[in-house]
Amino acid sequence: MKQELKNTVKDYVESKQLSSEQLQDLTKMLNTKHENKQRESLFNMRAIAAVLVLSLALGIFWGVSTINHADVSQLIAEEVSSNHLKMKPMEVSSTSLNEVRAYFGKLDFSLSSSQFVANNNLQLIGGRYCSIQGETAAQLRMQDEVTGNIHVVYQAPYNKDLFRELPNLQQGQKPVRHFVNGIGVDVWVEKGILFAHSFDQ
Amino acid sequence: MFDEKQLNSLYRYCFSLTGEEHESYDLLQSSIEKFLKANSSEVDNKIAYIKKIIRNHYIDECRKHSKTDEEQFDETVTYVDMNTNSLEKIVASQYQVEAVWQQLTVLEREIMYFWAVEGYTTDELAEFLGMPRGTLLSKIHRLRKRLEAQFDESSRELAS
Repeated sequence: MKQELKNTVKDYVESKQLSSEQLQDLTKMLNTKHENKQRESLFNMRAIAAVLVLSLALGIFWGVSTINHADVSQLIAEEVSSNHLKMKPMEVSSTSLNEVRAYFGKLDFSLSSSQFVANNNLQLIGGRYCSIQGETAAQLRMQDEVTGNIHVVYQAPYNKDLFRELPNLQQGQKPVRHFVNGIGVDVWVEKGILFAHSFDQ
Repeated sequence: MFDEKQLNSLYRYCFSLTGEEHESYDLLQSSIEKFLKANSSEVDNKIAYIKKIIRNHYIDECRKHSKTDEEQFDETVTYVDMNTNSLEKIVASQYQVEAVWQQLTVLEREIMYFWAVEGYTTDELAEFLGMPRGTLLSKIHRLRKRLEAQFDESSRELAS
């Protein structure tokens, strides 16, 4: 039966269709590839997440490492200046180093006199227990013989793993000085002891 | 990604290119593989995109196997009454269409497919085929002449 060419062509072409088997194969292929792509995408996302976590971990490690190396004296200065401003009551009052040393019997080290402190004309007046960066320390109160200002000198065992490299007076180095909240803080190592000296400016 | 209706539609497009059913399935299958390998997840019109893949893939295959059946473009022909409307004046039986289908060139079958099945206008068809409108009109003109001649002949054969 003759009809318009357009309809005839349409009918003819549309009579062609995939067999159910062909359709099944193509659908399977599409689904498999799609799943693979999703899996690949998931894998990529996991890889990106892993890289991010690793980067973060490295960043934290680097940050902590940097803090340990470069800013440990700054951390000490911040802690010490805070103690200086609170100026808690002394637990022992004496101008004798031996008497004060006797009070600090629980320390793992022996209190020592410092050349740097001696050069500043400071007179010992007492002390109390405290800590620096978690290490038990002695907090010695001193008074400037000229101005009457109170200075605080801290002594703690020098733990190199904790405090890293700090200026060592016996190696001819000078204390590192920080200023925190209006308080001056010198930090150094002498005779195997960590010293910190805080003072009002 | 593609439902049954879309897959059948793509298969018919392949059929318009190859003129043969088995080859159409092979063409569709390999084109889908290409589509999946390509980063096609962000493509807006997946059907149009895969049709392009199908066409380019088929052209590549034809070139590989030297199955080129391009007609020479007749520059002397005048473009009077040469849009797809001119084809609508022709009447034919399914038997006649089936008989002539494989004798047509790839481009002629494509023109027939997009005109009759997809309902493309001449401009849409020229754009899809990447062909100047004038060239396409000339092809349509030649196709009409050819179909009229073929159908007259087959009508005479049937009558005798």
